Amino acid sequence: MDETRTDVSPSPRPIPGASLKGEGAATRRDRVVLIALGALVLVVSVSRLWVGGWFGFGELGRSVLELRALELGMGLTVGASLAVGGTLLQALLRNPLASPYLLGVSSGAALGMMFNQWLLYIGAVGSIYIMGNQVAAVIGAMTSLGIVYVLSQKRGTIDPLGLLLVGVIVNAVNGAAIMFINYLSPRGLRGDMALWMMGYLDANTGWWTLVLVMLLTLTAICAAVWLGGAMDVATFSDAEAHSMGLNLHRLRLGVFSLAGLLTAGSVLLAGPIGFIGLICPHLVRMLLGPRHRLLVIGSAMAGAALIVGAEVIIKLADIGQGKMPVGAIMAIIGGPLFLWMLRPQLGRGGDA
Amino acid sequence: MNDAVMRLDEVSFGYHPGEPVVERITADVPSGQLTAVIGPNAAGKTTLLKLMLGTLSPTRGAISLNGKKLRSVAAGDRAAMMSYVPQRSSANFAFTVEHVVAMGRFALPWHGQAMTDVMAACDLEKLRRKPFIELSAGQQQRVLLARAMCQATGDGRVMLLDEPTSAMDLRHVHQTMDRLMRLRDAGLAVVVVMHDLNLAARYADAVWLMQEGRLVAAGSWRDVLKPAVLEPVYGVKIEEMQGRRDGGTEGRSGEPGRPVFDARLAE
Repeated sequence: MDETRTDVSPSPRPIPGASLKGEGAATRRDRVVLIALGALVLVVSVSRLWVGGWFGFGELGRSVLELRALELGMGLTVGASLAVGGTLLQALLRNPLASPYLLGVSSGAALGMMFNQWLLYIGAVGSIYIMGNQVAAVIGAMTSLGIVYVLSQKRGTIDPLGLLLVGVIVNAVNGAAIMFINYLSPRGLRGDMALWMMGYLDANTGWWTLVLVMLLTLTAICAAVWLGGAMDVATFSDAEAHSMGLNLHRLRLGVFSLAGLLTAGSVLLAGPIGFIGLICPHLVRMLLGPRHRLLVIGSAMAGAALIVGAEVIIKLADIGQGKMPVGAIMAIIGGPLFLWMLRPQLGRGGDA
Repeated sequence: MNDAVMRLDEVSFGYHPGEPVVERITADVPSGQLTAVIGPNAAGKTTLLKLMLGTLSPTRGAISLNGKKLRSVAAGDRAAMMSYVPQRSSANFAFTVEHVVAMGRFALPWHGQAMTDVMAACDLEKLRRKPFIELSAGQQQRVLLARAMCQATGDGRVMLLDEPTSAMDLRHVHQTMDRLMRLRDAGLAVVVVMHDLNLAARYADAVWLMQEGRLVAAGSWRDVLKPAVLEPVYGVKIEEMQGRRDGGTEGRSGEPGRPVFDARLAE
């Protein structure tokens, strides 16, 4: 009779979304997809270490291997952080077209670093340089994201469309400022900057920075997985998410910070690289569905595999003597791929 | 008898100063009753619902839930007590029907039995693994109701619904109203924004009539659902179908004399 008010003695309330429960659990198919993605990461990683020949265990062999391992680590980290950053922003904006690149977060981090380089060049900074680029990238990314966040607030909530528009404008302004600094810089520095702006895994970045960013990325990915259930709920309207017991404001702040940190980290290692943050969540969503706990893990692996895979192709095909910036390749492959993925939505009017 | 689970005290709200959307509404939401919120377009019905939900905060006045100030109720406790069914959902990603329904338990302990019961009750078993965004509007409304019912299982006290049947076929309209009546019988305060006066006339225990942000009439259906009360608000000629032999229809609870209305433009 009393169907709706059955049992349920008040049990201790779990941390919302903290456990895989009920229908949120991974199915067998999900596990197969995740294992396949993991295997893919492994295969491209081994290839990355292998491509270019084997030089034994001598002095030369060791230093070659160390260099490749460094670049491999950078590729994995950059790919994973961009893909997860994109996943987070897409969940937050309820828009599968959002990405750190599109919203000006990547260019913000790049601007921060360039500004720092320029300050260094004119001699305005010196002794504090040790942390210079790292700090500048984080400041740049967070400032851009902060501006986007604040300007797109409407009546205390975020208007997804307004946010995208603000993001596009912030991106354009960052781009203009980058050009400005570029012009003021001497030719040598200008060349380095231009290369770096293409999205280039620069081994000069060094192990110390890599380890720092790697730890940051891993922590952020864990946090993103933990927030997965909340992000699922947040993809519905504010009123619905609120009614289901989600504190949207807190989640948004958390997810924004994570996305900003992830992007800053990736830019620090490799400059701004586009499309990873857009394509990986999109592709993985096709395989795993939209639940964010799985999506974050899957995207991280897909992003890592995509960057490292592109690097392997660059080395194998000897594109630009095997030194072509991976960002350029990503844009060339990514653009058409993304258009192809958009196909079902294009020409379908505004009902999507 | 009339224990109000929610109280609205002089609640006003406006997006811009001087332009109130909801103005000085004082009302009790009684447990175990179905309250229909009716009124012409832009009367502030949906805004009122969002105020009760807590998505919007009153610019003046106060709302209490279960004796506590709504704003001070923790999100998890609020979700346990109060659920919400929007008219449309703004899903952007292809969650399956069962994922959407399961989200009702997001802030609450998992309850597998509730999930099974609700899927059956809302006629959703066949749609289980379908992406929510690919369903028809009426099917989506059933899923949204199921999600709220899943959420309300256990400690649910209030359910707020915004035109929950607006896109449904006839069978599902009455099936849905029947589900709501059962929730009501189980002690929930069910508040439904609706446009169909005859649906309200058939099912509501209490009726709130809104006009331009104000509550112009509130009370039992007998007192509010009368042409003399409705006509000035809707600006149409409303006729109670007295000419019929049965003089109206039966309410779900078996009370006779529920009115049926016909409306036409006033000359």
